[in-house]
Amino acid sequence: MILGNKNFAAAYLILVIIPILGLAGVLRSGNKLIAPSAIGGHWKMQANAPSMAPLPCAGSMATMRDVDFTISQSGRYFALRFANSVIPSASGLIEGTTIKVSIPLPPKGLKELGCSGGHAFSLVATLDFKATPNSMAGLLSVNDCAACPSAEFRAIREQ
Amino acid sequence: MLNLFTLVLQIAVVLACSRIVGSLFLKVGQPRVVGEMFAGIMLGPSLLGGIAPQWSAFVFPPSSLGFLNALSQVGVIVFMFLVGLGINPRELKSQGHAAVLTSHVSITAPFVLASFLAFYLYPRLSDSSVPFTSFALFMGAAMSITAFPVLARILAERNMLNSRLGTVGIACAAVDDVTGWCILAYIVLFIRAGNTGHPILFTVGGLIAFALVMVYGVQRLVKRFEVSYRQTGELSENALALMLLLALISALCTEWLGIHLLFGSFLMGTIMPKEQMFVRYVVNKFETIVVTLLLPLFFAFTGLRTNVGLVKGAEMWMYCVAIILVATLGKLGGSMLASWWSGMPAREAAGLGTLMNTRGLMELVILNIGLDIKVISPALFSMMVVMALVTTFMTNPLLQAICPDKMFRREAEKSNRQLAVTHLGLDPAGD
Repeated sequence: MILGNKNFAAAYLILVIIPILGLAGVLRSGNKLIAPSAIGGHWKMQANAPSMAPLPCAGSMATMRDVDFTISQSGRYFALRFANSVIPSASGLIEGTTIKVSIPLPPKGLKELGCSGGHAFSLVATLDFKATPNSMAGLLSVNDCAACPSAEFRAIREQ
Repeated sequence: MLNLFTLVLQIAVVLACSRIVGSLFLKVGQPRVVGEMFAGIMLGPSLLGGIAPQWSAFVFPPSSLGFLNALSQVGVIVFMFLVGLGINPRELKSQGHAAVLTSHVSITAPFVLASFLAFYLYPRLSDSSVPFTSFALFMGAAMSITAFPVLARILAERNMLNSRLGTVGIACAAVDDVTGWCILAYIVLFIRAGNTGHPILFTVGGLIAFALVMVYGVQRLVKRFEVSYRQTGELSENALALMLLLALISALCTEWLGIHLLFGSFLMGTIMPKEQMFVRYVVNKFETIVVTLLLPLFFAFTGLRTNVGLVKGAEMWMYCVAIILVATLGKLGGSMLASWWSGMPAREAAGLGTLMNTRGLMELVILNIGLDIKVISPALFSMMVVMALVTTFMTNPLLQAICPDKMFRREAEKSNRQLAVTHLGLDPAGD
């Protein structure tokens, strides 16, 4: 392969130097992009126990009371896993400072947990990043159950 | 606490699985290493954890993975030393302008395209704890890497090492890897600056001083290994142990300075003497245990961290496909365009692009570092692992289609005859 000095310089300019300048431009404008807030890590949940009692699956709700959970975040998407709980991991979405998670109940042992049907829970919470440590507050509710009251909860992010 | 039973069980399972899958892949014309990478993924949550969670939890309980990781990292440290050892900067110099252009374009093209993709992916797959610059640079470095060892193995298996395609490919892959690791060092430095306890100036100054000591001090000392090898035709166990010790000390220095263990061992490898027979001898001494035992553990550990299940829904799979397309377009397309521009026939240029597009194990090493320093998220890690597998898997069949064996047979025979004349003083006619 023979490449003269002039050809080499032209090719290098077009194929290397100009793209590098483009990269510099991308890096500069990319700094203005806003990524979803970071929520990954361990959280400690404090649920309002009395308000859970009337829920049809109070037993399963109880397993989520005062329990730690871990969030593994991938941008707008995250997986939430409760520690020491029969509740399987759930996936959710973050929009601004609001997170929404649908928590499926395990198909086995629903009766033991006090569940009458194949309900799933919704967790909707608002994040507070000004608080130290970061916290979230929201509601746990049963999907497709208008009669079921919601349970308030608060969670604090462990440092 | 270390549960020896669990650890030995894990090693046995990983070893058996990687040998079986590796052999199956060999039968379908893929390098064994590709099968071993797949075996690692199969042992993780993407397959075993999904279909037999109890078995997965029994063999790979989360509390035990630290030991498996430690063992696999020792393997990767030695492997990176061997990769550095195989890299010879003179190979690039001997190729002239064309190889310089091809190697630089094969870095800049995927790098720039990856940064454009990062522009799209950052608000979707990253979070506010990661600066955009680190995210984009990491994506660029991860996409511009070439699996130097896999590439060398493919070329050797196809008897193409001495062909024009082979020599340019090896030189470009070497440059790509050195550049990729330098960029990665910068990113790790940038991300870890606040966590190491050292001021950034200390780290930068320390790294420059360390590199100078290695290049102008240690490099002179390690030349004695080659002198000793030339005199006796072998190295003593003490010499080999000292070599390993130097690689480990170098790794510890870079870790202490705030970058990563692997940079130190890689640098140690690059400053080692480059005489071919010596390099082959040292590689043979260390390679067996690293390749057959320790690297499969690394693949398994990577597989345990890879959860293809995190790539959920059409939107996530679209990101994954975009990553594969951009990686392939940048690397294959960029290398092909530059080598064609340099005067290589279009078919050979396409073959070179295909070779450069193989990422293999080097990609997994980089991705694990990215996940460790949290510059990429678990879902993006899984997508990038899928990209590494796809681009490595496609190399051999694509290369066979573009540049069939017969295309290089005459060139290989000619090159072998020349070697015989040069080294053995044989008659070129073969009489």
